[in-house]
Amino acid sequence: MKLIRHPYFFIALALYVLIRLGRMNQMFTGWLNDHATDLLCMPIVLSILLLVTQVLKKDKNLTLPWYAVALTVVYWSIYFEWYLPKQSGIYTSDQMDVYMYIIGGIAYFFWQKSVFKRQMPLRPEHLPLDKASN
Amino acid sequence: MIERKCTKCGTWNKDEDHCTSCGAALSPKAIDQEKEIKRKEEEANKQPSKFDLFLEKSKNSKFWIVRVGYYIMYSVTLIVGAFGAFVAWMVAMANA
Repeated sequence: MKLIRHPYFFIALALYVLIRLGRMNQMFTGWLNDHATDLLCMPIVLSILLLVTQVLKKDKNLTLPWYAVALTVVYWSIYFEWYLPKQSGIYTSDQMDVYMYIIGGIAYFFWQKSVFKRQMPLRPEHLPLDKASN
Repeated sequence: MIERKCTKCGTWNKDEDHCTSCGAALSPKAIDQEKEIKRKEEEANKQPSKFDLFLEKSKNSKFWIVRVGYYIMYSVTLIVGAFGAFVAWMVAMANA
């Protein structure tokens, strides 16, 4: 829940929606139009996946390990850049998009690390004396 | 110097976290901690759902294959993998 409510998540989501809408009337050109959504989609998707995992595992402090992030990046790269272009003409295979997924995954991992590092566990010395023994 | 009046017994306290007379939480930090403790107690006393019971049963099953199944199916990697694939499929469907 922490990442979903984080300002960075909203900024990434707003940018993603804006660029996707911009594609309809050619608002943006170049890198912003071609690759920015691929860069943004990994942090957005992984934040949602973290929420789902936290709910299923009933642990709100759970974080995604590096191999789960890597698995998602590899899966999305294969699915969108290799499998779907072979199946449908609307998808194009682009090596640059794979790099964007990887950068997005790494950025997500360090962002998650920084957000969850700040929380301090409730230590016995911070509790009132009658509760500290529990 | 901050002075706080206890909402429970009405005693005026100096900058204390808890009331010197009745021990009730006074400072925002102490109130937050009290809420957190209450939430944890409520969580501990809550009746387990059917899903919880199913998980507990699978985890402690006498059949080793069920226990192995539990650890594989309930692992973070599998949950992330399965939902990641589902989200990818949904995005692909939205584009099509």
